Amino acid sequence: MSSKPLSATGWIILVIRILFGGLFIYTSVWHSMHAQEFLQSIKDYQIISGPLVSWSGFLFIALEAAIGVTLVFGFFVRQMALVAAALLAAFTGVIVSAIVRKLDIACGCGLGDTHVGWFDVLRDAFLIGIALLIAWRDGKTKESQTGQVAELSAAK
Amino acid sequence: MKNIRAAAAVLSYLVIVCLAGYNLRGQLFGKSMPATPTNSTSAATAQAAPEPASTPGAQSDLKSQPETTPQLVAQAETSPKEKTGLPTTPSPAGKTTKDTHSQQSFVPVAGNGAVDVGERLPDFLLIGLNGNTLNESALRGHKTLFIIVSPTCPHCQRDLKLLHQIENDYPSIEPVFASVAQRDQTTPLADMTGEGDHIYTGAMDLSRSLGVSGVPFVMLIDEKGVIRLIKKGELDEPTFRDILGKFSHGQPVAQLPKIMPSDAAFAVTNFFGEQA
Repeated sequence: MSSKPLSATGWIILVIRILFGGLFIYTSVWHSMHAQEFLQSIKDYQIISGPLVSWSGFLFIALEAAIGVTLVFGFFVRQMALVAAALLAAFTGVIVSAIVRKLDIACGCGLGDTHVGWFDVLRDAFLIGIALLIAWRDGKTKESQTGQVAELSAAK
Repeated sequence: MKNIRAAAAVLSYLVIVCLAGYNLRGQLFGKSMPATPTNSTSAATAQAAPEPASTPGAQSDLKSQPETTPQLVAQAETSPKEKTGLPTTPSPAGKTTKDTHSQQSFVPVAGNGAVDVGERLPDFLLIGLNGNTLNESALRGHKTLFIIVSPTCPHCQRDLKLLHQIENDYPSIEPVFASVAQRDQTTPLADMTGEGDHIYTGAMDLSRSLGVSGVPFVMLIDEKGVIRLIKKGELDEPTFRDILGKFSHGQPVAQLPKIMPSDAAFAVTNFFGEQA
C-alpha cells in the first residue's frame, strides 16, 4: 500500500510532520523536566486552580507526548494533527484571554522564557496552519491510496 | 517494520509520561502545590508544631528599644530549627549552614548575622494566619516577594496596602509577609491590609538569623530559592513596580542600597533597638 515512492511534496510534508511532532515531544519533555515551573505557569493564567492544576498539567503533558510520538512515528496522523490543531487553538484562546486581562505572566510554552503576547498568538496560528496542512495532506494521501486500491480491485 | 515503529512509539510515550508522572508525583498524589502559600502545607511541614510558645528567657537576647513590643520579644525564643532538630554546622565563611535538602546545591545559606544577594534563606517555619505553614522549600519553583514585617510598623502597613492594590498585576510573584509578632498581634494587620492569605507569623527567629535590624525588610527570591534583591525600608509604588516588573520578566533586578537613612522613602522601623 505504501510501496509507491513519495513525491517531492510528500517528502516535504513528511519532514514537516516529523519536525512538528518533534516539537511536541520536545515541549512535553521540557514540561516534564520543569514540572514546577509549568504548573506555576498554568496557575498564573488564573483559569483553573487547586488540584485541577496538577492533573491538567499531567494530562496536558501526556496529550502533548501522544501527539508528538504519533506524528513522528506516523500513526493516526490525520486524527492527531487535528487534535494538535484543536489544542493549539485552545492555547491561543487562553493566551488571548491573558493578554486581554493584561496578565504579565510567562507563556509556559516550553519554547523559551517568553511572556504572553501577540507573538505567541501568531506563533500558535502558524502552528495550527501546519497541523491542518498535515491533516489535509494525510487525508488526501489516504483518499488517493483508497482510490488506487478501489481501482485495482475493480480491475481484478 | 511497523511493529518496531509501534514499539518505539509506545516506549517513547511511556518514557515521557513516566517522567512527567515522576516529577509531578508530589502534586498529583497528596502534597498540595507549594507555589501558593495558602496551600503550601507540605508533608514535611504538616507535622510541624503550632506557633512557638513564649519563654521568659528569650527577652535577654534582644536589646530593649521603643518599637520592640513585648510580643515581638516573646516570640523570639523557640525557633523552627530547634523544633525540627536540624543540625547546624559552621561553614568556613563563618556562616551557619544547615544539613537540609537546601544544601544539595552550592548556593550558600544565609544565617547568623547578615544576608546577601545570591544566598538562600535558612530553613524556617512560618505559620499562616489561616493555619497553613510555610518553610523554605515551599518557596522553590516560583518567584517570591518576601517581606519581613511588624504589625505595629506604619511603613509595613503602607507597603502591604500598596501591594494589595498592585500584586494582581504580577501574578507570577507570590507575596509572603512574615510577621515578627504573634498571631493575635498580627491579625489586625491582615484586617487593615486585606493580605490575610499572605501573612505568616513566627518570623522573629528568621529575622535574627538574617541579621535584620528593621522592618520592612524586602527580599525577592527566585524559583531556586536564591535571594535576588534585598531592600530595607518602605518602598513607593514606582519602585515596587519597577523591581516586580523586572523580576517577573526574569530581568536582573538592580540591587538597591540596603539602607538609605537620609531618604524618607526608605524609612525603617527598627525593632531590635539598633540604629538602622
